[in-house]
Amino acid sequence: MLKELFVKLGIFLILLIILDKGIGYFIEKIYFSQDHGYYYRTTYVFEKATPDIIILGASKASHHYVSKMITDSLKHSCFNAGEDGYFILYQEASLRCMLKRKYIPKLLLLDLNDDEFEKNTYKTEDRLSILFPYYQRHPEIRDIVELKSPFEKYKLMSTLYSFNTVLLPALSGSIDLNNRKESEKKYAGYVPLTEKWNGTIKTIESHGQLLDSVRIKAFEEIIKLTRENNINLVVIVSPAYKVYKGGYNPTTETLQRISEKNQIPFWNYINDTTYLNNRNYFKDVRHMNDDGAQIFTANVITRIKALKAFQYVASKPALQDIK
Amino acid sequence: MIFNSIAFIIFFVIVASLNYILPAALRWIWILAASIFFYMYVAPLYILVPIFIIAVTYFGGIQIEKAASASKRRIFYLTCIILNVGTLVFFKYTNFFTNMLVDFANYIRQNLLHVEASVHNIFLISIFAPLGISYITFQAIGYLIEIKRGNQLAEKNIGYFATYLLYFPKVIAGPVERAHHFLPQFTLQKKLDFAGVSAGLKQILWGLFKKLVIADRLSIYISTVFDNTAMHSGYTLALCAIFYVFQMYADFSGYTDMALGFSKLLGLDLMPNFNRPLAAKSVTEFWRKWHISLSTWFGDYFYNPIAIAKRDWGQWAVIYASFITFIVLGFWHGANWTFIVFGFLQGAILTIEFLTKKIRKNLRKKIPGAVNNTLGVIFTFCYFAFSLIFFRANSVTAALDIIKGICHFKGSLFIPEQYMVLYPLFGIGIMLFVEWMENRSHSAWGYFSHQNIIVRYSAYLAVSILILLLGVFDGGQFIYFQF
Repeated sequence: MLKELFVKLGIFLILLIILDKGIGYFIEKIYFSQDHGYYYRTTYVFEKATPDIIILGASKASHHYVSKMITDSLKHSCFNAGEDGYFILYQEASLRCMLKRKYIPKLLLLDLNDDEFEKNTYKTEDRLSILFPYYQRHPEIRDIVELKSPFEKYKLMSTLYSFNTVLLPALSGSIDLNNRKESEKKYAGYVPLTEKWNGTIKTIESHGQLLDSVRIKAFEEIIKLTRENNINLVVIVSPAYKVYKGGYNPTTETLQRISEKNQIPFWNYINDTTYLNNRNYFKDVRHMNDDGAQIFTANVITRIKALKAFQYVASKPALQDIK
Repeated sequence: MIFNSIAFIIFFVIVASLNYILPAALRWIWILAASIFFYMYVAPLYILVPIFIIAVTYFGGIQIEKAASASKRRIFYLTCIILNVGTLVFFKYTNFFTNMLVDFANYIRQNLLHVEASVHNIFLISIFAPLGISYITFQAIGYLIEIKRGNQLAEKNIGYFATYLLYFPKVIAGPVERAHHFLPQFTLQKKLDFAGVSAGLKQILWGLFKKLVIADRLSIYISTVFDNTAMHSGYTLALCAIFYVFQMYADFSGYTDMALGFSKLLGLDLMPNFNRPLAAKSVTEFWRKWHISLSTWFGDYFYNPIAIAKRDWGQWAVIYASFITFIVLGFWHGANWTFIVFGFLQGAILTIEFLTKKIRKNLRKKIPGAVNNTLGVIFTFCYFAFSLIFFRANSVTAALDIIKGICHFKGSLFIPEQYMVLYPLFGIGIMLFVEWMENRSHSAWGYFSHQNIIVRYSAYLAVSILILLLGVFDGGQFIYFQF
């Protein structure tokens, strides 16, 4: 019985591996031939983008920084690489890929959430599957992906698993039916939100919240990489329509402490009344709408102009125009 | 350690390999050791609870059998039942009942005595119910009832008996296995054969497909909506209520398929739990096809005894038995009014179906069979979907809010990413097609058992590829693990 079982299982596994590699090859081709859409954004940042100024962050980044305003005001190309739902480990992976291909931005704006390090906001290991398609192509991010589970490197030997669930979005990112490509190019990564929030300010109780050491380590790693590569880094916590009980926020306090230690500018907008007093600037408690984003970006531009380090690098010719 | 985790696969390969090498007479010792390890994997101390149930039921069973008089037999029997039910109630329902008493006391103070509602629940226990406690106690109770009725001999080998209650493929979420089906398999010492192992592997593969491609993928969409119902339109809530039936079915039957499959690989058969329930043409028929091991348990030890005891009431006996049975069945799922309402709704519709049996039979003669069957399937599905709103909600108020929301057909359908809905719909289509094939060909898992080897292998490969391509690999627990 054992012999028969192993022979049949063996045949099945060989066929499965052949199909996994064969079908996987075509899906990989489709995935990396995208020229717009949600997943293309990651490929673009990891493998192609070379703006003078790059913004890294999650959804708050993508909705709060009007790239075109920055480009027009500072006369340097800017791309907003904020990615909805993907947090600091994703940003660390982005930076590693950028540096691997010798792309050094003049300025890196790192937008972090006001609860970025809090353990209960999300599970660190749950947000890493977006990196699967890049696991084989980018050895520099493998240790980040492997944080997901000790078995991940074995699972990722399957090409189909590496491209799990991405087939339909990849197809829509390869076929431009709604002229999205042009619109995305125009906005240079910025994703405007139009709705207006009609709720109240959210009060957050952060006392007793545990912080995730993996995410704090990722932040320190980003600082280390930017320092080693002479990149001007600014850490920003952009506005949100919420207040913290007793003004206590363990994430911003940690960001402040680490930034000060490393002499990195840290701009915290979380208690800024310019925004807290204007509900119309928000789409929901976490995100600003386009009106808010324009006001906020103007403020960020003013502060960037005042940065001595940026004035120095900005005096050199711009690297490349945004592709 | 859930079935679709790498940790479980490693554990199972070790267990199955050694089980194959060991002489048949010794296998139960190995399986018992593996079951104890499996149970203790998360919370080691909790093993004391099943050990207590095993001891009470094992020795109690022997005493019931040996008892010289009917009265002694009754005393042993009742003692064992009280200890088993008491254990279940203590771990699962103490907080529910004490909270109810406290709420009642506070109501009296506030509304009748006009004083401050200041009674607090000092009996509140903050421990989790041990894994599979509902399943273990129900199997133990069923075993004791059968011994008392004289249908079952008390098991003399405590090792066999402990393995029966702790057997790891079924310990957490069933099936509610019967002793007369399970225990003789140790003494029969069935030889592991290729057909059994092959059938087991096919069943595991199919269970994985249902769990990873349908249930866990639907769960992403359903959780997004049902965890934030106020933000969503009636269309979205209605779609989620429909999807939840598929999620529940794919999750639970997927788990059962895997449990039965793993068990086959160990040379032991477990009873089936589902028989294409979504094709049921009435709710009565549905409950003969859904969670069969539990519904037959309730039929044998609850419904029938009540209906027989009250037979003088005529058809009211059936109605009374239906209501009581389904309310208890609902409550078995958890200490929450939502489960009681869920059970009540089942009892209500079964009563209606019972009372309208003749009218419906006459109507059927006037309506073409296909139309009648289709309407029956749609009605059964919709009714079950409606009752599951209570099953899924955290409170009756939350369930009523969802129902109110569904009635307001305003706003748009929430679909953040098309593939969030398209992938599980594709999986549901395949599952329904396979079930339709099974029904047509009367063979299990459609193309998995096709005579032509190319068709058969193509089916295995297609399902495996779909799992890799569309499955959710970091999904959550099985829904029924909480019960």
